[in-house]
Amino acid sequence: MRRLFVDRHDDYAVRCQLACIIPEQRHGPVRLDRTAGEQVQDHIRTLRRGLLHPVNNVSLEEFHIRLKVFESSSGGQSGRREINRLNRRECPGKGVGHHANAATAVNQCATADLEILQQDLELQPEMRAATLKQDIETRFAWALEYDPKNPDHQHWFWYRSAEKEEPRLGVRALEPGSEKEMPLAIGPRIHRTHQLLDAFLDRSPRGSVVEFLMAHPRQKECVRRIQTMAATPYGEIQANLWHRDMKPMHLLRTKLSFFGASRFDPKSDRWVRVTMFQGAPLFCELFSDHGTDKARLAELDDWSFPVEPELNLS
Amino acid sequence: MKVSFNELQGIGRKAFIGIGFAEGDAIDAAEMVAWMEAHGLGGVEALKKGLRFLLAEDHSESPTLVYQDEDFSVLDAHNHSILGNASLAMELGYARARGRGLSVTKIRHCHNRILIIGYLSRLARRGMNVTAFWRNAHDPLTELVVGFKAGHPVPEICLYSLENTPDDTEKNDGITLIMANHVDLLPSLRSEYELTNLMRQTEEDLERQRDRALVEGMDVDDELWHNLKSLADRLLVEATDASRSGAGAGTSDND
Repeated sequence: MRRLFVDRHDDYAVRCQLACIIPEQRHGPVRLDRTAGEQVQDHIRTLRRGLLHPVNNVSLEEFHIRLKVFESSSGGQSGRREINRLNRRECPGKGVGHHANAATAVNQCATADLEILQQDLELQPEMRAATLKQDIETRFAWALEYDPKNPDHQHWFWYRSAEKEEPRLGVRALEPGSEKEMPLAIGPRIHRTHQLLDAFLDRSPRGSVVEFLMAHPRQKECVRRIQTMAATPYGEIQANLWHRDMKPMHLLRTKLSFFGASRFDPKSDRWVRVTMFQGAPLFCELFSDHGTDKARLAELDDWSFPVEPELNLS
Repeated sequence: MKVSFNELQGIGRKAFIGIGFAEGDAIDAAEMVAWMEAHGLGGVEALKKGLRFLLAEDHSESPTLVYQDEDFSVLDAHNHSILGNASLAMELGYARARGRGLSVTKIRHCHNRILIIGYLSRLARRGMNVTAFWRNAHDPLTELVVGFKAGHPVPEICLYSLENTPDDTEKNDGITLIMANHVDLLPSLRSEYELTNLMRQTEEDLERQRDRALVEGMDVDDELWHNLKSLADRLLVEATDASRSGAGAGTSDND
């Protein structure tokens, strides 16, 4: 049996992926009767299978099976109630929007295999503004550590370079271009939303999110992101990306590991040389006689994880 | 030129930010255009027609709430494109319907109205029954009705002209949205009256069109693409020696 080597950064990336997937129900509801470790292993395998065999994705089959159940019930409304019931049972404490997302996922899967990959940040406009504020304080406390009066907390800014159209960093106080800044640093934006919510709730203690947004329309994307990602413990890079001490290398390694990069060889704190697709299955391994061997295919599931080196310590 | 859904959505998002849209509005607008084009509903053509107006608009001006009670809202969009932050007007109707079972939302004084279908699809996917109605007052008088069933990502659309124009017909640049939480509003679009059907699109028509667009790509004329690219380039920052430092390998790949 191969032993997989997952270093800190790769592990972080995997958890980010899982965090994005689990609450969105893209691979079916999380089975809460399993231990957290088993869930993670299960979803790593599902994730890898999804990358290798998107058409034969297990979750898609699962959705289709469910769909047949819904079709045998009395119309679409019954189907949606069934999904909501499953969600309430298996993911207690989620809002209406969460249930609707599950219905969306099933409908998307039913209409086209391609759409299973659709990702939406959806607003929950009916939510109480006070609930949104509470969610920020509970789930995004790290973002509230931002201090707008501290120059170190807004040292950098991110922009897209005309030279290569790639994201680059500039020192806010010294370099031109901050007026074209990319809205990459979500922490300070959440802090700003929280401040505005605080003032709004003073005026309208029972106000809804959509009423808050009518007063502050530019907060829409940030609110959508908060509402969607609040349920994903690893869905955000939990750091102030403007902070003087922020190292872009950490972001680079996380992002590249999403693409299956390995053998990270940093050349500075801004660029790194990597190896791509090491150990990836060949075309013939997937689609020749080998491809019909399910056990062999299962062994290929984890190819994007580097194999633990065999150290000769003698 | 042929482009993919993602390419159209991506360039649209950057171009709208370049025009001055807030990030959330730019994302919504780009999706509305790409969604409409993918479903054969002329998203690119509508954008081409409306781009001149978009460039002249004040994007900081939001729709104003003119009247509201528990389940009825009237908003003034100030003659702006529906691509701006009119999505919040739709979200207001959605929130009201969630709370009250049914809501009516009127958005007055807006243009590019056809593009609203792209956003209404999102509300339907979130489990809301939605019907949109508007009338074009030019000759011949036409009415357009769009009906989404909850959970269905595509609508049924009916565009027809009226044989007799009412005497009191005036310029109409508004949209009426009806949303219901629990019941289908329009099982199918049909009428006992004599209508001259100009267009009728069923869910199946639109799904076929979408499947074809995802596989074969979508046509965008070169001039519009060039314009969108120029708008997107407004976000780019010229390189300096400081910005180049540490940004990738230098002249030698063995650096």
